[in-house]
Amino acid sequence: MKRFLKYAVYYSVILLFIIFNLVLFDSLRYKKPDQEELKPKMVIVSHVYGNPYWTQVRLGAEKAAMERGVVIDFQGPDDASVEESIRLIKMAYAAKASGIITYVQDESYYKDIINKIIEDRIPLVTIDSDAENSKRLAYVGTDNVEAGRVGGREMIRQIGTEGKVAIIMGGKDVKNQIERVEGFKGYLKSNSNIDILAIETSDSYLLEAELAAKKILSQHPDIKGLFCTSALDGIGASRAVKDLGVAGKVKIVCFDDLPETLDSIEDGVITSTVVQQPYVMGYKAVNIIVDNIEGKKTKGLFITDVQVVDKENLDEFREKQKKYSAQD
Amino acid sequence: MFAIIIILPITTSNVISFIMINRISENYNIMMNRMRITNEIKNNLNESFSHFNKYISANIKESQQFYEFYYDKAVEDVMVLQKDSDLRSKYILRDLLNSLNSYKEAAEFTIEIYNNHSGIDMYYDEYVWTKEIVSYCNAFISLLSESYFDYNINIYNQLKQKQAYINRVLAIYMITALAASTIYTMLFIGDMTRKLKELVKASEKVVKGDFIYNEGERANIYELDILSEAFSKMINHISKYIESLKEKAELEKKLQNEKMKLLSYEKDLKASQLRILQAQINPHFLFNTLNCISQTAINENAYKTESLIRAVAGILRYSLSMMDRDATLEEELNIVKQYMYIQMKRYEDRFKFNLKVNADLKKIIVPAMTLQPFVENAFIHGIEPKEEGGSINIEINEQQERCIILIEDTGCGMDEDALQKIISNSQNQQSVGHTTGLGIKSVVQRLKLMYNEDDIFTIESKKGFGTKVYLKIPIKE
Repeated sequence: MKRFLKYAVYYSVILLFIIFNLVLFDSLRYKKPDQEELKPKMVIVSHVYGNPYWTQVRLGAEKAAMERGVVIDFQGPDDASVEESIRLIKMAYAAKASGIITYVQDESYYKDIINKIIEDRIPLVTIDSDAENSKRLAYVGTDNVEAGRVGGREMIRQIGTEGKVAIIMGGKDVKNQIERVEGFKGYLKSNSNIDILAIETSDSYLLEAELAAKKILSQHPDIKGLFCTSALDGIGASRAVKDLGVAGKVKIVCFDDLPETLDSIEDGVITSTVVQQPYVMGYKAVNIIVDNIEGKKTKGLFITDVQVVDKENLDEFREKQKKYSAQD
Repeated sequence: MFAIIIILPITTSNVISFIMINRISENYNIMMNRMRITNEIKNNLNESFSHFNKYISANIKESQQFYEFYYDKAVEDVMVLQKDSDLRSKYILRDLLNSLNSYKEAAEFTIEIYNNHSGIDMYYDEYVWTKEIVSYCNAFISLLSESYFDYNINIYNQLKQKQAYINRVLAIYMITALAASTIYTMLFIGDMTRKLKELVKASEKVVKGDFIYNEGERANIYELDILSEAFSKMINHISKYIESLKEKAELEKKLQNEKMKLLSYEKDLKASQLRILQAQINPHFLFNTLNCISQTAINENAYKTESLIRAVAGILRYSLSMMDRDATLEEELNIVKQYMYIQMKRYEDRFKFNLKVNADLKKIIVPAMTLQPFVENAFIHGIEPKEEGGSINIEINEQQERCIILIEDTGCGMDEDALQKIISNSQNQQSVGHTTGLGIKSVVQRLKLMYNEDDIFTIESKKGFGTKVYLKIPIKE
């Protein structure tokens, strides 16, 4: 019995050592990098690289890329810059990307290069902001005039057809901002007697938005509503009304769905926000490009709807957002 | 076993270290090579572009060739890199290659316009575009370096992790090996000390004279087991040897005793012979004289005298010639008869002699002069002192393997003291009146020596009634 035990111990020690050796040698195995076929590459030139709104665009584009067997190269300047954006587009052109999706900050700078690219038979789609007069294949994005109108309708719903409001916009020369203001103004003019007392510019900076809002509110204490056309303007305005103690009294209708914006809606500081569908834009844009590569002539305007999010449908909206991010 | 425990982990760890070092240096080489080629691409591109510039600005024909030469080299390098790169770098390489193509196209286009002797305003845009593309190419090259760098850092991190993992496993491995060898050594030493203690104990016992050694459990250590076995065998041999020595000593002692007995007996014999010789200075003279007397007695017709003398002469001859020889019982009995004849003549009717023989007398061997001393004894101590006389009876019977000789007298008998005196009669004391000078004791001793048995002689006696002597002689074939 003892002898048997002794041999059992011997063999188990040897076995243990063999296992150790196997584990060690197994850990030395070298994984060869996957020899994957290179896929066609789409370059997306965004407005600002790290912007959450554009992150949604990216997620949508990646989803489509996965479905259509292409890859996405998501680019964009770290700060909004026409020169940098155009450089990125030219780089993609020089590298003969299979497709280019770009945001157009100022059509006049973009038009030539867009035309040149199209002439070279590289499909190019504008996204979120259009260059109507260029030869781009298609535009995917919000109709910003319409979005402004939606904002105007929401404002009337909140404050009625009488009263005074002010506008804070992200940039006086930024096309989509101008269009939104245009749409808003037009809708109010034809549907109400509301006076627009002031239009301030934040240049899409948070602090400036807050200061602009404070300025408006102190100059015009009888104001009933603030219409904010860029993502950060709404947040700046909400901080201003909180500081001045008029939260809830002054209705804020803003744009986009930054987390802080949604939180402010929950708190009742921001009344409602006009939300675009960046995810859908990214998804759609990639599909249009791939369609064109595959020979299907897909051209024209692809307008994505805007949606008004207020306290009532906030939860529902957040659910949807979560679903998109989870796909990544 | 022990060797495996120690050698295996060390070998393994060495081999693994070797492989790891090889891998690291291999990776390092690959990385350096890629970096070098990447740099070369950059240099070639810039060289190509500078020659392109020279051509445009100075219209040097050679520059155009150089521009193309360096461009081709750059493209070649990209191709080389494309063969063996990670996915991300491959995408960048594709972009770079495409960009280089674009550069070439743009440059060729510029040169074409330039060659048409157009003004600067005609090819300016194309020239700027070419320059831009070169900057993009450079941007891609930096991206490529970055990508390679990231890739290598990634690999390096993986190797580091792997190294850490391997180190951990190796540490556990070593600890296990150490523990196993420690336990093994302890068990080994335990076995060894147990066995050695056993041996020491056994040797102590041996020193004290105890030759019992149980080998006990085997230690499973080859040398020790052999030692133990040898020790056990040695002890066995020694104890057997000692035993045989003891036996031998005992035997020798016995032999010595016997020799001593024999010597003392022979001494007795010699002494008695000497006495006889002293008493009868010249037996031949005596025999001759007796013969002469016997002849004379015949001549004078004195037959009784003649037969008496012959009897005396017979006894004398026998006792002298047979002293150190064995005789048959028959011969013995003849002497007794002759002796009786003489005594009859001497005492006439004072006693009677009865003889009953119920055995084959020729078969029974006894030392010479065995029977006569007893008969004489019966006369001396039994019949002679008794006024009215008595009878002497001899009965010889064969009983199984023995011959029982009874010598009985109805004389005056003996008390204990007298009995003891006869039995223990030593050679120093004169056995009064005996013909041969032999005492009862020496006769009995001779018998005992001859047959090597103690139970031969018995004597019974009662004051006033007589004495009985029994002799039990073994019959030898």
